[in-house]
Amino acid sequence: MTRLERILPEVAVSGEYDIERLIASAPDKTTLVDLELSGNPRCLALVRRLLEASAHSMLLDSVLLNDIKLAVTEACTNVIKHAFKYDPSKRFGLNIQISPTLYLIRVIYEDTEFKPDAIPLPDLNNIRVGGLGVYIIRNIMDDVVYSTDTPTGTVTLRMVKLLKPLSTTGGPK
Amino acid sequence: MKIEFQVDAVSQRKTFVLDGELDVHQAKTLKSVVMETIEEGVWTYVIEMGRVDYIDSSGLGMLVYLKKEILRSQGRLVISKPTEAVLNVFRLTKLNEFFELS
Repeated sequence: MTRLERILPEVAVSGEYDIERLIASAPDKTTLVDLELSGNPRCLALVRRLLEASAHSMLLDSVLLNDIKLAVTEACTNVIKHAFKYDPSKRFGLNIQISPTLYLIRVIYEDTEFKPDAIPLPDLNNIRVGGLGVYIIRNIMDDVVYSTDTPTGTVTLRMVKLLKPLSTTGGPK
Repeated sequence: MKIEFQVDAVSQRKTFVLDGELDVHQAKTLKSVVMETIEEGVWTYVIEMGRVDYIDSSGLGMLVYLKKEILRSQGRLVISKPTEAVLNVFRLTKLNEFFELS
């Protein structure tokens, strides 16, 4: 049984789940954070502090928190490094929705040259200096989807981390 | 990130004690500090990571780069005291098999 199936039994039955429905199921318990970040990599440490604070309020364990910190940092680093070429005048969006059941993160930026299907898988038996970021994201998050609006060049990376099943007292088990 | 540097000329050992997070921003700092000290010969370069609670692919990439540069100079790189958070990322990327850990 996969981690997804353990957390969401419906996945075991249907093989799929609806993220928007999961969020809508507990709207009063959903925290929404919208940030505009610059192409300066110094901002990434601040984002990690924000994630730590949110995890503290959700009683997340350190493994889940580290996964989320890593995935968000990798995604933002890719934007700053590859799409913005470290240009601090450029801006991108980081949208985080935290509900009792999941952590939903969207990274939104402009990149007219981005082709998600062209991202190569790294050869872990022949380690190179770069190319591990997207591999790490895909391996630690439960759901990762890149979508591109071709006319505007807006890329949206949506990442989901499903949280542990809730106990009867409302906190994670 | 803070980096303490110690040299033991007798045992030909250079130790870098890192304290903080190793991300895209700090990886450049680590590169400049270590690269300044690399010299030809059978030196052992130890990067101590007992106080590093976060590393990402940029940090990993920098460690891979430094290992290759050190090997080119006939030296040896050892990653010492990695925290569980660092080890998890090493295992995920199989770098625990690439680096010499102690």
